[in-house]
Amino acid sequence: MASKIKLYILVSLTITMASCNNKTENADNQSYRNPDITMNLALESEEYFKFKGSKYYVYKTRSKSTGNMSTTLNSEVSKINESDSTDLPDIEAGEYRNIEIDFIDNNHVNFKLTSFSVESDPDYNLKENWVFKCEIVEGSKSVFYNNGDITLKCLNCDEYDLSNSVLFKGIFSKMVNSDPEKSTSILKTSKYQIVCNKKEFFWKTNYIYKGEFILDPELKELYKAQ
Amino acid sequence: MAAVGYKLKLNQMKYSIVVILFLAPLIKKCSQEGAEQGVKIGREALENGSKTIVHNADAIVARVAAKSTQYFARYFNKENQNVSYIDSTNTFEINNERLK
Repeated sequence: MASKIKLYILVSLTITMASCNNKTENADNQSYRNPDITMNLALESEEYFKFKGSKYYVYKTRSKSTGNMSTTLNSEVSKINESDSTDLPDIEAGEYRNIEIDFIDNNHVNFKLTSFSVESDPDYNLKENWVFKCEIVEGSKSVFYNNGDITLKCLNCDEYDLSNSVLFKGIFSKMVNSDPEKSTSILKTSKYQIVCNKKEFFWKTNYIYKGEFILDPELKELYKAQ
Repeated sequence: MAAVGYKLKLNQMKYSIVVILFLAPLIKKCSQEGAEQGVKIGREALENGSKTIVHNADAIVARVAAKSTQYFARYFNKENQNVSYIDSTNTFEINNERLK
């Protein structure tokens, strides 16, 4: 009889503990499934660079983004449909964003993108120093040096996307004081075109971005109280 | 470059770093709403003469920010080595040559 009671207590305790664990997991999953800020975007960017000295400097950009952003703070979904077109007045203004190219062999080239932003009262600064490894899919090194166009296929775009996903997660988490571990951020290049010659460098990219961020409960309550 | 040119450059920069700065303002808008609400709480409370509310709201924001800094440091210490954050200069860096 005593052993039956012990067994009953043991089974009851096990069930109770399992139930508690489930509740905790569910609570975690619940917060994961219900982000406070969600962004879904399709982005398209075009950048034009001009060669001067030893580098190509940005002088024209076009960008477009469509999608939506929602937040549980006000339960509204904002549609995003923005476009921008910028022509820099002179090439010197493009010094903050430039490209250097380096031929590895007749069919492979690396291009190094360097950019930085420094604002007088920044939320953050950004520095970028990225080497894109590329295969020449149209043209060749000799075509390039004979003033022809070359078309490039990026071989490490996945690595770039992954790093940008981490970067965005960091930037956005910092902005909204969320825990990066509980956030998701995925940037993916869906299509691109890179063409250059000795005088110009053209780079068009389509991206898909999805981000989900969870606000600190205490801060969320504070905001919601208003 | 003259001061006007410099300002223009800063203005252009916001638009030129297409992905990074193009995405950021969108969520900035959202976080600013939150921040502004926090400020609003303080302002309204001051106007109403309730210093306790100001103190509480400030304390919450400060507490969350401190917690967030810890999360943040932990995340960047173990995440993708191509991305780093330099706290002293408030700078994010994406670099695939740093470790070479």
